[in-house]
Amino acid sequence: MKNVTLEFCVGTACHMKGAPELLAVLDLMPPEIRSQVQISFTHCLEKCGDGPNVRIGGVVYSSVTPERLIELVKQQLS
Amino acid sequence: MRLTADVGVARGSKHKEEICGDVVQVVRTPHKTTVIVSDGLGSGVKANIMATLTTRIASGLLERDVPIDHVISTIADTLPTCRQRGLAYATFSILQLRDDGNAKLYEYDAPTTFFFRNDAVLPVARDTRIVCGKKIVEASVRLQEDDVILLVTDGVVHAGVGQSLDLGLGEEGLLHFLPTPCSSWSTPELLADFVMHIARSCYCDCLGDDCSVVALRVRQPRKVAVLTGPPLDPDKDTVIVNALLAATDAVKVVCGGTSAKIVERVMGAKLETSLEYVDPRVPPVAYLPSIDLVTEGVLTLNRCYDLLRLVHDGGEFPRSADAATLLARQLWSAEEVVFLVGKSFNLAHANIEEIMQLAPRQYAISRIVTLLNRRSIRTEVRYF
Repeated sequence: MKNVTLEFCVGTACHMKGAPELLAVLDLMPPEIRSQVQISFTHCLEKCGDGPNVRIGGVVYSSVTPERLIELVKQQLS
Repeated sequence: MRLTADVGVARGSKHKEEICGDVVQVVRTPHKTTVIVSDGLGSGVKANIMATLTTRIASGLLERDVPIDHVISTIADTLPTCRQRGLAYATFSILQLRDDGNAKLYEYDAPTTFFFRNDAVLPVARDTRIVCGKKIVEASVRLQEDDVILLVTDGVVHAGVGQSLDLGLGEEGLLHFLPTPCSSWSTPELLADFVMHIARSCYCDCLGDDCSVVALRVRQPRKVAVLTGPPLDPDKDTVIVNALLAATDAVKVVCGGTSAKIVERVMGAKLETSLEYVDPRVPPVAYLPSIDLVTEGVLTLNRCYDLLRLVHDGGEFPRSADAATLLARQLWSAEEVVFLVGKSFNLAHANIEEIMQLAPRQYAISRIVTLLNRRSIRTEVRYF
């Protein structure tokens, strides 16, 4: 089974721009998909102006919305 | 050796009463910690007003180093006596701990205050004398580091009377549940919570009287060093981190994501962020070797100020382990705090601070410093 690791920035800017909302989306995912998603937090991905930032497979994605996050997870798992 | 004490308070109102008739006040001056516990006669608003009056008179006078006899006579002369019951409207216990380890206790019609050393009750000689017609019990104790002191109101000693226990919990009953008061609880707050839990259990969860518990643990003075914000000149990164690490006898705190990354880089350590969002208003804590607390910056400092303000105005810290509460507790329980403040500003925060009406880092620090100074905590702010 394929796994994906999401690294969420929880620094000031990303927190205020919606990092907690992105985390909440993970809880709404179907259990079979959620079980394939590993998460970790970091305090800064050094793109504070473009938050919220999420690093997936070494690539930093900026201005991530909940919809975009779901898309990214699907892409990584497909 | 200088000594001070951590103080933990737990309180509960009589069943169906919204306001607690007991009032607890802790006053810290540079060389003294004073705890005043007052129990207003009866319960509810009237009891609270009388108890508040007692603690306010006592704390106001003691802060100005008025001799204790004058304090007691002022309280005794001011407080009325209940016409029906012939009793004073409020009882009190006053404990003064000096930084040389000498403690003085004054009790007026209050339950016995317990002193514990190495988990055993410390025998304390008590004298009684009459001040303004009131029988005051006095005691002097020479305290040591790790001694524990427990003050309770009569609601705790009489817990369960006529309900689950014919004669109530009693002092012996309370001690029975505390076989290891010095070694079992890491903080006095937990001990106070435990004693309150015992009282609640005896009352079958419906308190028959207002209950207050104050626990103190004697300790050496604590110093806290807080590094927050990157220096204006990146070449000073090592200087600011070394200034933090040089405070070997201090609790070390780093506030800010970029600041934490700087410390991580200079120390060659690995920064790990907790996965637990304890309070959605504040980003989670992180961990760095040799650093006691790592938090986010501006949001945590602003929330920390709100919590300090709450406690300064008579409230209590939340029983939560979010970053801001942890930071606020560290600062509030310190005797000396050094802030190492980097003046570099993250432009990405400008809009957010404006929209959220957050105080920028340096202003948040200055507001925190003002509150700490009001509590007689020595502070030093160094800018980089």
